[in-house]
Amino acid sequence: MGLFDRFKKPSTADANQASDGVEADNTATETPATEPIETTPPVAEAVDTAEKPEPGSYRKVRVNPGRRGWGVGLVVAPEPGRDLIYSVTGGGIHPVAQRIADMTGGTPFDGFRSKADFSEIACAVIDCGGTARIGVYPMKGVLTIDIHGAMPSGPLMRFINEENFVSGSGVDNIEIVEE
Amino acid sequence: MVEIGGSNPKYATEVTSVGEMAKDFAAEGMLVFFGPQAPDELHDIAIITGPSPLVGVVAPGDILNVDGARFRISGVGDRANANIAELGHLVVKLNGLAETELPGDVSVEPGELPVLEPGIVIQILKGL
Repeated sequence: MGLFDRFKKPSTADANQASDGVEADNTATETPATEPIETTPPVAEAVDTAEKPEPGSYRKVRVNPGRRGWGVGLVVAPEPGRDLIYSVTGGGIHPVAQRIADMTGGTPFDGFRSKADFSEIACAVIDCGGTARIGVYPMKGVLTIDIHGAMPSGPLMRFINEENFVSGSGVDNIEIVEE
Repeated sequence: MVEIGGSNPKYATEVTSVGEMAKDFAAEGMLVFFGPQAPDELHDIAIITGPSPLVGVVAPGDILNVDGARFRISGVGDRANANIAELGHLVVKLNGLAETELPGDVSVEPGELPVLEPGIVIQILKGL
């Protein structure tokens, strides 16, 4: 899967038209608006089977800030009934969310396609530049991982802290926490 | 898609709901839009719009039309077009900046916003 595949949204005909329209224009202007900003991580590769927990069991991971990210890192620990890795990102499940799910045994979940209760969410993965989503999930008490290297900002900034937020994280910033 | 007079908007959509916190943000000169697939938790903080494709790349000099009130776009962040195309997500700041504060921002010249309510039309038109 290439980077641009992430921007192809199969959910509705409208979304497809939208992506195609912009990409078509980009080729003309040579300034691709859909080019991911540089904090966007590479697409997740398959995790070694040795890293995957047994079905029905979970492992903890630490998600560290990226090189240009903010925060001290978060420990994500899915458990029964609270194992959704909630991706609220353009283009479907983000590779960082997929990687966290693969390593922890959590369930990847697309917040733009299905509904979930906050009580079911182990962490949220967002691609927010710093206005809206960056504050909503911390405000709701959800551990929040921003793949962009944003620092606390926006009208809900007061809810964002080192215990609930980390940013700039890519697939290489996730590590197993040994028990 | 909403059809309104004017020459082929790059983007045109209709507001379906306005979150309580979205009104507070608007009072501070910030409009946060999301398309219809936005999860419930974003409805409180955002102005939700109907499904609509982005048919042209938004650029400085274009015009944002909010229910007939027109704002000249002064700056467009690197992520703004992708956000609109993928998620119907648009962050408008009435700060008149050419270099936006954040990569998702669309900055416009300051002006008076109309009452934000369901049914109003949002358009982005090519500048003259």
